[in-house]
Amino acid sequence: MTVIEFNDVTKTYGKRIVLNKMTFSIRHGVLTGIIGRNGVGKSTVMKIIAGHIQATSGDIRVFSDKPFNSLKVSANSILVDDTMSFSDKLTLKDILKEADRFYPNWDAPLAQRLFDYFSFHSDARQIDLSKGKKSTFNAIIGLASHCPLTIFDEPTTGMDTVVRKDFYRALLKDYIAHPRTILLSSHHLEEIEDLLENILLIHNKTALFHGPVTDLQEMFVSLIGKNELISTFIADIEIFSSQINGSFSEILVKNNFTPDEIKQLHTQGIQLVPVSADDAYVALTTGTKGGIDHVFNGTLVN
Amino acid sequence: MYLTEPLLTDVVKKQFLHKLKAYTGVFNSLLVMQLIGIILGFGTSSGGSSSGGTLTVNYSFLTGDVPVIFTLLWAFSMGILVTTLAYRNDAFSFVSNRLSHNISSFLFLLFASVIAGTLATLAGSIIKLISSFQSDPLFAETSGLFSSPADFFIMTSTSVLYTALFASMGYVVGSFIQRSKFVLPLLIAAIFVIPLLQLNMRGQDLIANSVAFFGTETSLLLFLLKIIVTISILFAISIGVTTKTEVRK
Amino acid sequence: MLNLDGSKPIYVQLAEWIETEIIDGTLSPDEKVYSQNQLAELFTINPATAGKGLTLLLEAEVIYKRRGLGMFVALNARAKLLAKRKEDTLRRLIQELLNEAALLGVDASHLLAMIEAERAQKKGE
Repeated sequence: MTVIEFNDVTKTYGKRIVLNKMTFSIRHGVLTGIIGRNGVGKSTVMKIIAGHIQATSGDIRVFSDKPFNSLKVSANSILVDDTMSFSDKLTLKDILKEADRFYPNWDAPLAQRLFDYFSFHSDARQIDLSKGKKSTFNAIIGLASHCPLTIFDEPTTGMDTVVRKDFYRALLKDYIAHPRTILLSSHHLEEIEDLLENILLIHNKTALFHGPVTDLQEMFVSLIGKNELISTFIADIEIFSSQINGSFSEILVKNNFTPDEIKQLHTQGIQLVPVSADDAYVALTTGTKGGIDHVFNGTLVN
Repeated sequence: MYLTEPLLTDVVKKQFLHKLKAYTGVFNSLLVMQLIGIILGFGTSSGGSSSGGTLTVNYSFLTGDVPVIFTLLWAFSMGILVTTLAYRNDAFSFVSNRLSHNISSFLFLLFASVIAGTLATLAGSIIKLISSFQSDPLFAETSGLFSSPADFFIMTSTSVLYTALFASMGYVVGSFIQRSKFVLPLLIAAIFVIPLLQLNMRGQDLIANSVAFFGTETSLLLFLLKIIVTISILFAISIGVTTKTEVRK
Repeated sequence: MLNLDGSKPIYVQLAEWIETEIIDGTLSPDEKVYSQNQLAELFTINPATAGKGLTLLLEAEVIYKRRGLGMFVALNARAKLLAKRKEDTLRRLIQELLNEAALLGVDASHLLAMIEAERAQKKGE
């Protein structure tokens, strides 16, 4: 069953085009990472899905409704981001109580346990919290609401490493216990790639890649070998990034070798090493420019 | 997958109750405004004396209207305040759409108007009461709660209805301001331009006409009707103006 | 445990981790294997990725599926894995040996003679 559908969705701010005829759909129950460089429109996509902002053109369906002004979408989804704010007249405890009234699937015991685990004070107010604490509090609301569509836009902003790890683990455990459609954005893909089933990669105002994380990882491979071996090899191949460590070179290339070619590479002493989704993402979005090392060493890639 | 099918009325009810808790700051500012109104109210007595032969009558009129005027100012600014981005973002942190947010905000304004209007009349009575202790008057209070309950009821109702009217005016102005950033400068310009225009239009005084429309009405029922119709129109305009506003941008 | 930024995809590492559990006897034949969700929680990875690891084992017939009950260790799983590991590990070592020999200019007959000599010494010990 499809939960989110984008058809030729365009969003412009004045003359600036943020999304250009974007099309994708997300199935029920999938944990999808929304990935992209800063300012590519990750937040825009999420806010359109939540019905907070309106697309300039195109058709959007969430739970088969147009999300903008849909009470159904609002009641069945939650968007956790840094614009999630609450009246400063309410204490944190009051806010949890209010969330309980608004969200039918609210998991009060979970909210309370997380609240205590992260040492929040009942009488504190959201406005008094540090950036990281505010993010943590908002994330608790996002988790405990158990909305059929839960959206986290850069939820770990300001959190320290320990809390970030705790949050991701909590997210995964809660997702396993209560499977639902979750969108998660971060510009630290390496932090979340193991959590994700799918990746929606936004680049050049549209969806550059949408599919399983493992497919993204397997689009590329890293070749490691002696400098002279690698440099003879690279003459006729597209290289996405390269790195030289002493007498060894590592190059990132498209993963389209036949088993025979792989065998041949092995006998030549060249190792094939899988790449992370993060490396693959960087390769996809920077193209064959060769990365930062190329700036310092123009000989390997040209 | 189990989906909730929310009813507008349910969401509005939840939002209204939420706003009662979240907007308590509104009432703090009301108390401040009315206190100022009471204090200034003492300075507004006008009077004189007339004497005929051996008898001299000293009289002074004291009006309890100052707190009401301050309450109306308060209502207008509250109307604007609840349309601001911060209040809208707060609403959309929980379940909401633009219509439910508008209706619940409006219900909240009406509720606040009932409290504010009633308190304003009582504040007026306080001014008269305290003043009556200062001098030693023969006739002190007119249309007080105890001296004539019916009059007092009419006064309170009128005060509540005017408060609601001003809150609605604030709400519609606020809605326009939220719609476009050009509205505010236009509005300020209009405040100066309209009186100038009216100088050239004899007998077509817009403001005076609208004041007369409500102010000269002697039937409470008709007055109520006029206010309800006006408020409904203002509310409908506000909904129309804000139905496409984006939130949490 | 898994080396999450290592040289193999996570689901391959996951499959190998379960294989090791079978080889060292932690999991015995016909014993229930960890569920997809248990594995996901254990390693903080997406359940779908954990499922891919299990699918690898299922396709290699190291584990089998009982409808509604889960995955279980196949009867001959251990023997099968031992054979596979022997094959893989020895082959890799021989490849390295050949590469090193080529680098040092040692020809095939010399290499075989060295292996024979080493074997004879080991026998004599």
